[in-house]
Amino acid sequence: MRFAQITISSLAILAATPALAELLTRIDVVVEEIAILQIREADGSMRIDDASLTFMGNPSSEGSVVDTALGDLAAIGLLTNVCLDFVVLQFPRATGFRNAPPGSHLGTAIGQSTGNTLGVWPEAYTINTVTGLLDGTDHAHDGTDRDLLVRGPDGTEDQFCNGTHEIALGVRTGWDLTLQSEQPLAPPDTYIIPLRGTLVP
Amino acid sequence: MNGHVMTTGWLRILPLVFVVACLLPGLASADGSKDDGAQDDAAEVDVEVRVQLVSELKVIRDSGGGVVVSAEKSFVGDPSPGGPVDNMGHIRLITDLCIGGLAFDFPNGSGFRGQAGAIYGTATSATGDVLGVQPFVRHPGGVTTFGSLSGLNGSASAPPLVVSRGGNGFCHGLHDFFVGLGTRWDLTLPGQPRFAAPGNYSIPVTVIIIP
Repeated sequence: MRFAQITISSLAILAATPALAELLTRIDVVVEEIAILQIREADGSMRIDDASLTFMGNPSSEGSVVDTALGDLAAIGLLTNVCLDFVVLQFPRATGFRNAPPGSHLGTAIGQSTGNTLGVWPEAYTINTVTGLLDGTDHAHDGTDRDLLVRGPDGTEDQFCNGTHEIALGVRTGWDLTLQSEQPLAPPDTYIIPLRGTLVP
Repeated sequence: MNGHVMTTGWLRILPLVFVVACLLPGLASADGSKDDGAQDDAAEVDVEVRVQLVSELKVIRDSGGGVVVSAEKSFVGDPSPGGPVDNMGHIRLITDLCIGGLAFDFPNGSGFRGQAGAIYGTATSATGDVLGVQPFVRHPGGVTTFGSLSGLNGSASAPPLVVSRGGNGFCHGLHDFFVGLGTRWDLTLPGQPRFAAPGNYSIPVTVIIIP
């Protein structure tokens, strides 16, 4: 009987170090339509010290003009990655004011001490984000019983597109814009009106 | 798409054909002589099977995903240790030896608005717009992030993001790695929209074993 024994030992030498392995995965991020309003200047203020119609933004007795600087206007920031039609400004309003067109609706600023009402015309300006100055278009309330719509710099819709936009908010008023049921001229006091902004796509 | 990469072959069996030939009648025996009679010869062969040292990566979930719905910081996945791993990329390391770690590589860039000099991963949309992201990896040893996620201020150094472990590293067994990222809609490049336009942004992540 022949006997052959073969031992195979060639596999005894093996690499102890693994080769590099590589593979691929992927992470996806979906960005949705986003638009937010931020408060830049929470309060606007003005002083009435004469009988003329006075505009917020130039709170002086020197004349009824809008200051080209931000002045004492309140301001909000609009940040969006889509184009929006306008910002709606809501505010309390009433009719029956002296020295206003019949039937017109004015914003109601309430005296903090007396409780009297001062009629105001809310207004808004877009701010040039490069110069920081007000753009020329005055978005003033029209005296109807509707909210104030603030559109882009040229007054058309779809102007608030991807980026940051600044809007200044204020009022124009005079000491004689008072309710028929109250004193003819607004007594000295601090009058406050809230303005609420809402984005409309 | 699932797939896997194996570092080396891990099982080998040598062929037995020539051994069988020795047992057939009329054929040469193992020592080369001719045998005319009944064959009672026998040949004994030892066959060794060695399992080689192996490390393998498998893709368990080939893509992760998340949605940015606000101007605030957003995450794909949860960077908190022990948090849920839903929607995260999932890589599994299978090894019978200790390895140093994994390197996660991805496209990156700098020059993002308000973050001069900082490096971010670059997730790209179909239109070519870029969103800066900071990937992170959840693993058995904790969480490894590309830069700090607290302020999303990017990273001072470029990828890869190396996930290592103290001691002998990642040793015998299964080890799961979950890939996510942090981002914000304003991590954009000059010349592109100020805020990331609505859409899908993707970043590929390549994973490499570090011996």
